[in-house]
Amino acid sequence: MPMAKNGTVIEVRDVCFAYNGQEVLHNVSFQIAAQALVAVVGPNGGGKTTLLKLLLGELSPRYGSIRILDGTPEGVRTRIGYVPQAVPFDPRFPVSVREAVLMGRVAKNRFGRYGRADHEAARGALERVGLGGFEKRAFAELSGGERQRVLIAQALAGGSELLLLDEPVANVDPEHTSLLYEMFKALTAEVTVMMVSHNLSVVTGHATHVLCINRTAGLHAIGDVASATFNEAFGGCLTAIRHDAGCHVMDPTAALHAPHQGCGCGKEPGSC
Amino acid sequence: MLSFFQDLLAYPFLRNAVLAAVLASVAAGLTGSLVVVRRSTYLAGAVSHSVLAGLGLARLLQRRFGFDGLTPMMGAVLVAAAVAVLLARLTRRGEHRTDTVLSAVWTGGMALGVLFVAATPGYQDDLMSYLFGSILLVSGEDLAWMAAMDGLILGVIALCYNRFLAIAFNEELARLRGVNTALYELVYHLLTALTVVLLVRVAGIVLAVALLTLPAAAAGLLTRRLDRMMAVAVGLGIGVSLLGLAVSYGPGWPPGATIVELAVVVYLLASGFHRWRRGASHA
Repeated sequence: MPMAKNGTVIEVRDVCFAYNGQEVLHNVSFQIAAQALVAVVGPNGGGKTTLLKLLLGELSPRYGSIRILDGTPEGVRTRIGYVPQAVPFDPRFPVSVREAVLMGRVAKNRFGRYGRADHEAARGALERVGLGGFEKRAFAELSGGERQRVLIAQALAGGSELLLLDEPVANVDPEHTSLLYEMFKALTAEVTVMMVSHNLSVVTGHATHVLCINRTAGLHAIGDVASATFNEAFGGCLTAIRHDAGCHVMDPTAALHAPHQGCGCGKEPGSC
Repeated sequence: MLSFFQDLLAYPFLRNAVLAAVLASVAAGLTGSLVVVRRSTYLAGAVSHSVLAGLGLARLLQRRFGFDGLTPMMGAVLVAAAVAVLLARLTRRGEHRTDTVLSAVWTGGMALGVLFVAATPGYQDDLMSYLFGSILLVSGEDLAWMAAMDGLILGVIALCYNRFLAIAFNEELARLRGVNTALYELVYHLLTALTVVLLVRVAGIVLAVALLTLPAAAAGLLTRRLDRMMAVAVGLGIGVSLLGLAVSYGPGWPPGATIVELAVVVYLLASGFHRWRRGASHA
């Protein structure tokens, strides 16, 4: 499997982004190494979804740069497997599991016709997510967790090297949630996984890194995080993270008022 | 009913009507299945009602200004295609409220048609046949047009099937996977427009949407894959339209309206069957 040269899959540098002057992300920089399992956490409206859209190239940063798999987000888009929170789903949508997984390869052939290689890839991807033998089942009949796994298989069948998952367990019952996280962990043998998640206890059990997003961002290796303070952390993520340097508590106001490294304007956030 | 089968052998217009019903049902089942799974039946409604502008304009140009070559069917195809392109643009990316855009096109197009019809000299009897169909007046030339359009619709769906399916499943995912969704959306809108024009000949502007959606919706309740849904929708469409022709012929009922009522009955039956089967599997 092709891998970024220096082992870095995502490199975000000094990115800031605003919707109509309302700044959502400010001076965001981080690097994700290959085969990491990164959980993205932060409050609602903190910029998690915006970050995913920037990584997918659906939005462009106002300042700063994003490199993914040694390319631009737009350029490598088909190598990124995005799995949405929930497909707005018609419970009667007429599609089989096999057809849904094959969609990961729909742009690979002229007019979207599938050949033997596509069917092999689909079967392999289904086995990797633990749904071997489900090919002929109706997608609509599956449980929330099974559907989520089918969508992940779709991304894998398309040859994704990076999986971006938006709230992958939002519609999954607790029993299957930990199975899904086990599966993500197993998948990191081959791909890099980045997921937005609300379920912090499971995140700490499985993720290798936590990316805290609340207008600014901080990436933390999981060993550095004091899990006892996680619940508290969720309100104001940055205040409670213990960093490599020791046990200092970072002041979020300082981070927010730091000058833009990308634009160097040094103005108040939001005015930039 | 019996007189229908006797007259079928005697009168070419009845044979034409039967062929028209079959040709329209093929297009309706194929495109209608896509329309139903994409929940865009009001798109088809807006296209079909604005087709009146095309029919009316072509008739006006023919009668008043001597454009003999411009048949109402051509006018309908041109306007439907134009409306489809317009709707594909306006409803993309959520800049406008789709619902509002559809209402504007629906009513604006239809009103324009009424103005054209009013400005056309001669009897206004055309209007009723545009609105409610005139399957018993289909000519050999109409049939050739319909067959050509059927061929085109079948060909496009066969070629683009997997991409249409992926876009219907989730447009965003299809786009991120590298499908040129803007292009395929346009093709889809044109297909819908073409199909609506075909159906207007059989059931008229007001009832065309029923033929497009009811057999497909019934088929959707009976099948779990889009290709099978299409096949079953075509079959149901042919069934109801032929039965409708036969039933309406003796008492002299309007055939288009009879066909639509039968389609409603078939949809209700499929609905009941679906509930019963689900209940049985849960018991």
